[in-house]
Amino acid sequence: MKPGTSSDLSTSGDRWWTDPRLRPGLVITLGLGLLALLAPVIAPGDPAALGSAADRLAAPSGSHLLGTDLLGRDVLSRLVHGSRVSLLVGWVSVLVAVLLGTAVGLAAGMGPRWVDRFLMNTTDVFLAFPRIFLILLLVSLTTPSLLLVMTVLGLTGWMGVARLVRAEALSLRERDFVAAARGLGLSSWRVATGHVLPNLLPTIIVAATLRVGSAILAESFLSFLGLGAQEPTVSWGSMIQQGRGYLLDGWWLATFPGLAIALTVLGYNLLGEGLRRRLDPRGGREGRDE
Amino acid sequence: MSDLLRVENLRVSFPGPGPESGTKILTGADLVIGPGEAIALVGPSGCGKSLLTRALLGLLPDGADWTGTIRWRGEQLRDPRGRNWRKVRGEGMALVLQEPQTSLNPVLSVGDQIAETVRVHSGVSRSEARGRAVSLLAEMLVPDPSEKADCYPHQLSGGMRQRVLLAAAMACDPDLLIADEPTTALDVTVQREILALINRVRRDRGMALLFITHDAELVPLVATRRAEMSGGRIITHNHLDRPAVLNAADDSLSREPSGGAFIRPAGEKSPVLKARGLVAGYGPVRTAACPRAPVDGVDIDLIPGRALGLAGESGCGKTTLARALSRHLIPVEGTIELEGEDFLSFRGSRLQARRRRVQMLFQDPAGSLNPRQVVGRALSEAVGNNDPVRAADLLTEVGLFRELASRYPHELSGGQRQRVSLARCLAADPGVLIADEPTSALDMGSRNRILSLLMRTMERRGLALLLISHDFGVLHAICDRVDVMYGGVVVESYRVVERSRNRHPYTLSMMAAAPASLNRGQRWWLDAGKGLQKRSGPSPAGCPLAGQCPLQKPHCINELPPLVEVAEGHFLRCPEAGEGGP
Ligand code: SF4
Repeated sequence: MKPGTSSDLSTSGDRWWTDPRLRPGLVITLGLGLLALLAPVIAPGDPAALGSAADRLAAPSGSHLLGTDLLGRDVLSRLVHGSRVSLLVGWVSVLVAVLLGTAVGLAAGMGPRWVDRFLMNTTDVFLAFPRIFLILLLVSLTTPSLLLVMTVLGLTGWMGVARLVRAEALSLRERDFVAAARGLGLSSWRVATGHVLPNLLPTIIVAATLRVGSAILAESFLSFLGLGAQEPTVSWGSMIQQGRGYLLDGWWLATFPGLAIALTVLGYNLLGEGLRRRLDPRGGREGRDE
Repeated sequence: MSDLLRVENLRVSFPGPGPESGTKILTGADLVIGPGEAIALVGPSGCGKSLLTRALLGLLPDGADWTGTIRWRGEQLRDPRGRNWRKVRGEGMALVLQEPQTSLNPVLSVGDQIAETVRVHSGVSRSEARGRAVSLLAEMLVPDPSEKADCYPHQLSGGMRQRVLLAAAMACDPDLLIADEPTTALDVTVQREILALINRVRRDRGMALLFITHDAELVPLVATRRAEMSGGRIITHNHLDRPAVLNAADDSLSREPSGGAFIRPAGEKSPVLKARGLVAGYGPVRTAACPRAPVDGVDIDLIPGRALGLAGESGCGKTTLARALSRHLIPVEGTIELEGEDFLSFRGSRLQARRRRVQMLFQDPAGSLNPRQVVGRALSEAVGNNDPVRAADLLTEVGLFRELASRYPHELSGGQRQRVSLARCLAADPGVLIADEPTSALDMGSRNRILSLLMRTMERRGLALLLISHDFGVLHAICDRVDVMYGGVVVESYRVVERSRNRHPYTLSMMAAAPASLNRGQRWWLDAGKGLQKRSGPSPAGCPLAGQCPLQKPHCINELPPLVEVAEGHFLRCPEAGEGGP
């Protein structure tokens, strides 16, 4: 940095890395990703290994950093392995929601008016159902499984993306470059996928990142109710559920998974918010003080 | 210290990754502005003028490095987010930008927007702020200010929006107004009004002005001193005499086409595109409230190798007409015949193939290229078979280096983008090219080069060109025939060689904004002190000019005069034209 340079303006260098939201967001989300990938290596022990009677409900100590649960299993190991379920569910369900939402939104925004009207009415119908009841209904009618949770979360989470994509597509389709593409005789499909969709990507990426956090929260909630991951799969939500009766005698049982969920959601929200300010042209309004 | 603003050795660069990495935009700019002084800063587009204004306001984009000193009333400004600088931004300087449309919030009424600024600065009550807003609008000569205050930005014309922005800028009672190309997006006539207004407000308020423009000809109209920007420095400071009378300067392109250099023999080819009785508009047209459509019964013939000019101010329907002719907007009534076939009947793949024959060159080259597509990709897609060789040939044809094929639009200058847009049109091998104000977003230098490129292309390829512009200098230099449009109808159609003194009052008043395009015989209009005066709103059924026409007769209000051939090849929609002259 040159001498005399204003420190406030020159957020240069690696601009992504110095952003006050992006950096912690990146650290948390990348760290969690690594943790999940390398869980068997990182975890101090087997999450399912039962301890001896003396080891049951042991407080955090040198041998079990975060203590043990009712069956003497190491909480730290379970926490590390639980991250896999949370991230998997978070990402897969968001992927489903975003793919579906983008398809619906793009079709509504670029298609003829009747398609738009039909798709948006459908979206409104979906939005009118309280999401959590829909999920509970679907999940409780069948045998709980992770795959089901991911599908259900995905199928109930696309409406926001669809509306966002449609709105953006409606404004993009009025732009001259879209008119020029039509004027060159490109088919509607080519115009939508080749010209409008690439310009929607920043919006979509941001929307996806911001939704991962809430999907993880929803998974924990379902697992807490016993409708998500089933034993022996470890999940943060089910860990809290198991620890909920021992808040005084075994405070570590529910506290650590709770913190893990909070940190994850925070990380993805910071990342999404930071990306929004970077990628979304309307977000770059920092530095003005109105 | 008596300076209001003193900038010394200001350098701005963009280090780090990113498209502009390593570029030094400002390399040591110095500028001094005294209280009440009017300075014009001139330079071509892309020379860093806008960056300078942002630096002055402490609003540089993230990632810009700057050094140098900026003093306001002798006090050095260091921290863009600090209290001092914020105070200067809020109370010392005000900024007015080029594009009034994007600077205003579309969902708030303009009165609310001005009142909000008033409240932020003086903390008065809501109703008091509202009153201030109305009186500011009145100061900016907005007619019916209290009614206009309730309007939303889209309900106002470009000139009105610019007045609203000025009013908002005046809300904090600034000592320095920074006007960054405030009139570039406007028509000539409106442009002159806004310049006059800026002059008057500055005088009345004793405010200093930094007027930034690429158009050197505007300088004497507003400034007492002139600074030029080039190569990242501000190089000359000329003291001008007192501001000259407002008088639009000659355009280098406007000359008397006496030699007929661009005039080809008439009537040998049949039109490629023939439109009859076009009625078009967005949404429902010809409603009870507004019985005339934005385009209401227009006939157009486009002949290969010839240029037809379409003149008119914004809002006269020329862009709607262009969109209808290229089938981006389906006309409500009328027929369009393309190479002998009914253009409007095409559907599906046949439409996709045939519409390539009619290409449109848009006004804003930045918006007409897909920002996420490199130039080469855009061109090969336009050719249709993804042939990179053909794409490179097209770049050469429009005078660009082949290397530009790997660039993204934002890495090009305005003139280069417009050339790329033209190349993309040519890729479709069109028979008709519709150019909608193709140069109004460019600076003077690129403007003339693009126009001569257009003309050469038209002649070489035998294209039928429809050139839309409000600049008669340009139209007379390039076109064979000019149609003048107002209120959705063609009010006059004349051959450029024919320089009759007999012109439609609207044509004359538009020409008078750039007096060079009036010939000797037509100057009576200026001398007689004629001009349009708004006396009443337009009448729905009569001549669109009724209510502001100096030659108006009672019958003008109720019936639309027909377009009659008054001399060979000269059509006029006004029985009174020519009356009142010498
Ligand atoms: S018809 Fe009447 S109002 Fe219209 S231009 Fe002629 S004189 Fe003026």
